Amino acid sequence: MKRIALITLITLIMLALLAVNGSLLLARAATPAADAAAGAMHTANGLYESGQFGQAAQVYEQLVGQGYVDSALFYNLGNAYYKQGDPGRAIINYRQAQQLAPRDPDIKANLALARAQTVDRVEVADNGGLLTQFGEAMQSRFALDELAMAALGAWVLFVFLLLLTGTAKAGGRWRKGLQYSLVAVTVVLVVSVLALGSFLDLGSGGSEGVIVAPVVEVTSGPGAQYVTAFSLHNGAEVSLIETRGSWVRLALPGGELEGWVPGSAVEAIAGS
Amino acid sequence: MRPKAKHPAVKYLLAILLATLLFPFIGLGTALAQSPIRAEVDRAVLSTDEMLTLTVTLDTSSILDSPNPLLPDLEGFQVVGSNVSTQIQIIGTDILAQAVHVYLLQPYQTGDLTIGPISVTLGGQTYSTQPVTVHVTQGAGNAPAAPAGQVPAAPAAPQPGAASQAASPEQVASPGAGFAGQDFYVEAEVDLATPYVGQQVVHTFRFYRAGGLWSQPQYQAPTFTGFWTEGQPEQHEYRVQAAGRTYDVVELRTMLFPSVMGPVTIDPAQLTIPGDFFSPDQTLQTQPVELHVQPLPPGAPTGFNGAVGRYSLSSSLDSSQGTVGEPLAWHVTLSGQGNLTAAPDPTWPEMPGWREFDNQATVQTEVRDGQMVGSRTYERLLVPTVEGESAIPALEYVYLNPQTGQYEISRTEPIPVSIAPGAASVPANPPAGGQEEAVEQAVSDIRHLKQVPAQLSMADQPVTRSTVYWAAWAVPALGALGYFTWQRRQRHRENNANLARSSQARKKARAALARARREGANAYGAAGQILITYLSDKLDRPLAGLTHQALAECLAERGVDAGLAEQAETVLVSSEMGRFAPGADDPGYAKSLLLKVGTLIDALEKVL
Repeated sequence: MKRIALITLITLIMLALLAVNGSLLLARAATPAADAAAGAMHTANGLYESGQFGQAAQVYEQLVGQGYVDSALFYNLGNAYYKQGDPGRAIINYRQAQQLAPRDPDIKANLALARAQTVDRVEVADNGGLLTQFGEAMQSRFALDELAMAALGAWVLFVFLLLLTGTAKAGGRWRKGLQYSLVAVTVVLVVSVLALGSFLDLGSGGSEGVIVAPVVEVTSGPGAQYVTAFSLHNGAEVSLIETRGSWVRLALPGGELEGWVPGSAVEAIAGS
Repeated sequence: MRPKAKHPAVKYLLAILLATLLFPFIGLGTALAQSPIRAEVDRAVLSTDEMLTLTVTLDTSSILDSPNPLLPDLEGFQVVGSNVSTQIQIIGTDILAQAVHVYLLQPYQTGDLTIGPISVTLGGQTYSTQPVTVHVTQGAGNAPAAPAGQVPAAPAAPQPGAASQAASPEQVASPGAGFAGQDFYVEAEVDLATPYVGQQVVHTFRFYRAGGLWSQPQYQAPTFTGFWTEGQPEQHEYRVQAAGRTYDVVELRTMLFPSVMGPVTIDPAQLTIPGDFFSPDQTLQTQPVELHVQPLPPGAPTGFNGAVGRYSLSSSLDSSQGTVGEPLAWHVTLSGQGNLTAAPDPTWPEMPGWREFDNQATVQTEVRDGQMVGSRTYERLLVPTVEGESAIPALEYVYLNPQTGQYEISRTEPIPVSIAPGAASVPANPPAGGQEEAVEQAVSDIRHLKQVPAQLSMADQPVTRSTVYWAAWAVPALGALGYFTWQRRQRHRENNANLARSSQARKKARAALARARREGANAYGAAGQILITYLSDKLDRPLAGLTHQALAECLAERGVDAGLAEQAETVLVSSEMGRFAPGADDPGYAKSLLLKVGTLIDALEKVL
């Protein structure tokens, strides 16, 4: 009897913490000023529909500047930049939208189209380690919060089943069923924890950015006096390594090519 | 009975009160009646040499269809430029838009000139600005310029001492009025005394030398304030005969482009000739050179951005065939005579079906026959997005030819180009002759906007950056650890009954004591029974064999203090006496005996 009470208590605490985390995520959706922002986004959509892409982008940017984060907002902003012939800023916003809604087919299609408009083609010989590839595959399918909650849920379920299995009578039908369930949940737990780990590992390797200048010369040092190593055009996606003054050190995918560009020529992707 | 007349002071007070109450509404009415269009000028008084900036500000809540203001007939002014900028602000639930139209006006009449009401129609209602009057005075330069369509006044005659055209390198100059056959003489002049803004002017400095020099003279050029200077001075040397002597002449020519209008003075140039053992240094100085820079003539065609010179525009594409998604290089070259470094860029046309990427323009200039000539080449990367036959649009470059005083236009021809489908695109035309026609996408475009979500969420950190999240990971682990620890302890107890009995002895004894105190009956017996049971459990001895003698031996074996052992025996004896001795049944003593048992058990628990 005591065992059941103890397991129930532990389970209740686990479920309570799971609920607290879930409510933290859901709390983002309800903000007092969201109605006004929705009105502004309606206006921006109207500007876009009437062909005033620059002004539409201006209103979307103001909403982003006020701290609003929504995949539809970033997607529409990306569209407004695309229509202005700025694939660089379009890519930045599509990628931010994709971080929030990774399985959205519209975002995926427009991002592919914006990438097709870019001039630079980078051949990457090394696709990274297995964990990196696994992380990238997960990133293209799940948002970070989704993976985090899935891993936590699997962990809570794993512990609960472990406790129950410990209390079940040896050789009984319940115990066998619980053991099979425990194995299945263990597999889910391992996969989700690996995915979460690779996601966090990819995120810890510095932010990513996109070239927004029409064309920029990448120099060997932080200044115009250094040798120009190569040129990049609007829309080129890069990794941002460090910043010194007004110059940013970047690397192309694969990491073989790197150099410095003025900070105004590149913009970081928030949350990358 | 006559009504009582109000006192005059009361009337005044009522009037003041009424006015005070109505004042906010008067202000509100004024605010409501405020026109959404405002016009202002940057100055109230100006000359015909100056420009007037007219700013028309239009406030509107609907930025989707912001109209253009309607300008009146600007009599006495020529519009030489305009610009529009918009600002959008989101304040709470309101979206405020402001369009600012800036017009650059060149006056060509003097006196009080009035800019009539500027109107705009918003929501079916027409609003107008107040007329603006400015006073225009005669400028220091030429007569006010004529309106568009009239030929501008010809440049004034060169001032004395200044050549009307640039001297060719072969052409030699004669010394000016101040020359009197000295050993050394300097002079300066410009080739044009009344240039247009942006027109090339050649400033020539000459050093005449008939005597020998001990060392190199030091030349200090004028500051050329009010001019854009281009390149290093061009040097020529030649020999002339003057005043019966032969002079070696060094001539320095500097290319200037006036950037301000009106009278401009070029400072004197200085030349310091080092002295020798017998004479000090000698400093020679030219006279200041006066110019009067003319404003550009009116009647500039659309597309004029201020280029002055003689230019030619050419356009070429690196291939007449392209592929969707693959860039083509478009070379546009502006060449000719003028300030090519500062010349405005051509106006690039709208190019639907193409993505454009600007590259840095390259400029090459040289001085040829006293004129700055060269080229400015733009390389634009064009990425076709639509397959099929297309064309690179024609370009126009509008400039003022200072030789004729007329605006001229250089045009390029459209360049036809054929665009093939790219790897990612699909053929525009379906295969002919087939029975079935596949539905295929002709042109790729982005997918349309998304609807506004029900609620927009604010920026927040990912859940992985929350402490609660990682606490949620830790709690199940700690819970499981605690549970298994407890379970192991339970099992250990179950497998080791004696230990369990010993560890539970005190707890059982205290519960029994509490029960005995509560029930009150047979306290003597209970006290002895509780103590002996406690000791039996604690010492792991059967209760039946635990005589006083055996108990004393066991306690001594376990190292219990002799005093405690004696107290235990005393309690047991007292209990037996209370139970069996007649007249010894004192309830008060029995209760104190129970207390003593509790104290004794606590003391024994520490040592056993």
